[in-house]
Amino acid sequence: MKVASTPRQTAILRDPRLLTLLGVLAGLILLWIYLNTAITFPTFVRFFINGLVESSVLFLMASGLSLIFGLMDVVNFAHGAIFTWGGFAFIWAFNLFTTTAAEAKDKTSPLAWMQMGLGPLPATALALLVGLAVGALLGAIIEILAIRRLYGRPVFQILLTLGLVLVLDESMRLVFSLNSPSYDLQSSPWPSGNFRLGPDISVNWKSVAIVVTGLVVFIGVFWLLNRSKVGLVIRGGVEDNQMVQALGYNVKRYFFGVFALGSALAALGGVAFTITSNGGSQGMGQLNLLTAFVVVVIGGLGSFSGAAVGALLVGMITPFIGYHFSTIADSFVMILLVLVLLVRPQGLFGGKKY
Amino acid sequence: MRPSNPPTSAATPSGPDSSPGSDNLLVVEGLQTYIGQFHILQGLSLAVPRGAVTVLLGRNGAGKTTTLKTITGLTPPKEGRVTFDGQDLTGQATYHIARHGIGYVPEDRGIFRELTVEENLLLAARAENRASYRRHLANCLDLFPDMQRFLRQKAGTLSGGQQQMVAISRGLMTDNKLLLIDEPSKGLAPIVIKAVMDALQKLKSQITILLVEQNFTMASTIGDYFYLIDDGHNITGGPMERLIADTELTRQYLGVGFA
Repeated sequence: MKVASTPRQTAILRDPRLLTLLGVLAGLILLWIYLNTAITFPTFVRFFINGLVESSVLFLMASGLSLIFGLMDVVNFAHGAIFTWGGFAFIWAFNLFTTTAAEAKDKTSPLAWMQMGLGPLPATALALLVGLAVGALLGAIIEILAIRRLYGRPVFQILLTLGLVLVLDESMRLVFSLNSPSYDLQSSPWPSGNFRLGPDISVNWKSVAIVVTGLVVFIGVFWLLNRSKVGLVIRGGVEDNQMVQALGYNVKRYFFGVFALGSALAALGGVAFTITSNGGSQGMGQLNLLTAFVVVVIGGLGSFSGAAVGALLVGMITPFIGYHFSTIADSFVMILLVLVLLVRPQGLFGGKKY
Repeated sequence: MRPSNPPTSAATPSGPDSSPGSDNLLVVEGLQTYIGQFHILQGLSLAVPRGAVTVLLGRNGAGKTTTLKTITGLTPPKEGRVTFDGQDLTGQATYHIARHGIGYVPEDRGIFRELTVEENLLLAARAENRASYRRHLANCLDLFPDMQRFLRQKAGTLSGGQQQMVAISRGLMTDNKLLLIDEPSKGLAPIVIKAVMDALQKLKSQITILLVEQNFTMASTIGDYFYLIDDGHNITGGPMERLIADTELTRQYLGVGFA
């Protein structure tokens, strides 16, 4: 019973995460040197911050997808619709909360109590909770009614979730009584004001909040998956769910939780997106879903930290590409996907789980 | 599947439970289990006496693995009863059955390859209680001192014998009363089989075991009682000495020649 000892030092050197991180850093530095000759430093910082914000929104959406698609192997096209639903629920609640009772058109409405005339910050906080709750609830309903019976059957998942996209897209027009595909916030969700970094450089507080949210979600979910007992059950369950049941865990309940959490994260992404663009449109979910799928595949299926790096990669580079080569900006994401898959078909962190 | 069953299938389990004054931890009566369209267990019955090792024998496809899976609820029976420690477990969910104190070591070990050995054991420990975890871990390390060296290693990188240690240890991380072990010797080198056998010998004093084993040497050395099954029903059963003495029976059903 000899143990094959793993040489730890070489293992760390060969760690694809570290190598990729170094590669990304080196790439960014080279890019900076190149761009520094073309654009001024404050412009660079502005792009950098924009990139971070974009990465965070993308990551919020991709993180949910990484759990549902990457970890649990459920192909969920309705993820984008939940993103939009979360964003719209946020707008709806925000608009209600910021309306004062005096301004209200219909005072007999059962929702009249919500018209509290709150300031932008408390209204954002409350409406955020509404958005998250709507996302989690939608995820929970979808899991119970449909996905629960379809684990391990991808073709059925695709058919079903594509159908759900139609249902959710149409029903949201009804629920939020929309006349056009766009839906706007009636006032800015964030007090204007900047955070000064230097004489010529200032950052919008809104951007700071979104980046911090992305960071908190990353740390939180990473901890949940890798350091908590719940994460252990989920990781074990993904590998061999019968064995986890035989160890005394109700695996169904854990999978249900992951699905609801992933959906809530999609809704959070939708909320962040509507905050950055002061409103949303019906197509925003499906548009971002494609990019999020690319991010998850670039990062490697099943790897949560991979999704974060993928989101950073796509989110950070896109603004620069858009500035210099605006004609290929939209196809850039796909070019990046092809490049990554050529070098590492399993994705950057693929094969290495979580 | 079969036109008719031999009369033995309807017979009540002859074996440990018929011995006077025996105390049975697990009693299984008239199990009928289907997997898809296949009728695997056809009226199987057995009793597992407390504090002993009962070995389930039979050739490939006889229904040994399905018997264990039916007890754990992974393949629930269409008919029949499973009584454990006086409680009827028939039809309960697998995780519920496990929580009554039944540990399961499946064929091919079923370890979580992506998790470390420590994480495998932590998952099996279920309770958040650190003290109880340490106590059970110490017990396992006592049984398999080698495991100390690869606790931090990913379980997928271990050899078959090491994985078997982890799989058995997992069944010991809670206060289980019964351990169901499915072919622990499968795919292992003879010297490793010997080590697993020694460990099971030591385990006998701690826990009741229902063992499925094709390796006759191992089965006859460790087992106190045996059940011989074929085509999903009982052929015979009793104290292990009887089987060892009955060369005709072993030749016919196990393909083992002793003379």
